[in-house]
Amino acid sequence: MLMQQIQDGDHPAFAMLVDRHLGALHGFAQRMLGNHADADDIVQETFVRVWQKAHQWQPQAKVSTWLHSITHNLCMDFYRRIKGETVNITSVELIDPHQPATGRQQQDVALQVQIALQQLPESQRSAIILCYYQDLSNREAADVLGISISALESLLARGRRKLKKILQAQSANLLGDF
Amino acid sequence: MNRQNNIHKYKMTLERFSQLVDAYGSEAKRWPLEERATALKLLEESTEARRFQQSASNLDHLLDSVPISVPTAMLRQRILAQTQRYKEPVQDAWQWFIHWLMGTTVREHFLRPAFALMIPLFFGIFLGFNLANYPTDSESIRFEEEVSLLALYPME
Repeated sequence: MLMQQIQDGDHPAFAMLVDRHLGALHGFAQRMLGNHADADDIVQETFVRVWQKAHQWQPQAKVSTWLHSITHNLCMDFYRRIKGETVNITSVELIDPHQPATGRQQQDVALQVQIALQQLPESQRSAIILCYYQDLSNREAADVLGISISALESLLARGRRKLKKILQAQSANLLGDF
Repeated sequence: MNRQNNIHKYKMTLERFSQLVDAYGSEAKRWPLEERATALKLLEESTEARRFQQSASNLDHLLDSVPISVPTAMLRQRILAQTQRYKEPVQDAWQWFIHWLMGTTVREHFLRPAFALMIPLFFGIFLGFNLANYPTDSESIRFEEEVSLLALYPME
């Protein structure tokens, strides 16, 4: 219903769509890219494309899956553009010096996990973020990535194994006993 | 693809349970809906299944520690402002001309059509002035005769 209104050029309906999905898509882009500024640009571009290409949306497609597909494709384009450059993970966004020691330790752990996620191959990172953080079902995540469910499960399992390995190498006391 | 289609027909085994937690982690809410009930049943019955689940939960706790980023209000404004710019439908040339001709204020409603009417008037005056000074000397007449003769004989 909302998408049909948007297809008719209803801008207030589009604003409602933005309010509904901005947080989730921003979280997805931020986890994919590792920093706020790039995530902002990707999410802005996602919504501009949604507005311009609303007519391409098919009623049988779930809106959140379609939006995640657009954001995912833009993230992949971004990776291709910056290939060879160092990914800038904004540690300053995660570390607050005024936090008590335990809070700082938690932030440090979070930062290390974020860095470890960035070290995964893009396909494995996408699969983990979509299934783990975005709460997409296996069918929806597979649709976003354009793969079968068994291929998705393979990516997830390999991604989680690699993540464990990276985190174990980063710090023994971070993980405790695996 | 066959495996994918047949996944749900299989009874939950320890091997499949192990694959589930390897892929989706230790929390049942992330397991495929179709297999969740049978997986939970196996979890109740099997110590080995609980061991698989426990080993996956450590990584889940670490993944949970990454905070959720909150987009700024400015980003929302940026998105709405940028898309608002594309809101006006693209006009064709005729629509653009009518829009320009009629203007948007009362003053423009009168001045612009008046200006548009002046254009053919000035063009007529310009044309009349030039025709009045059309060359009539013998050279131009000779040229016209040559053109007429050429028109009478077919070219080879």
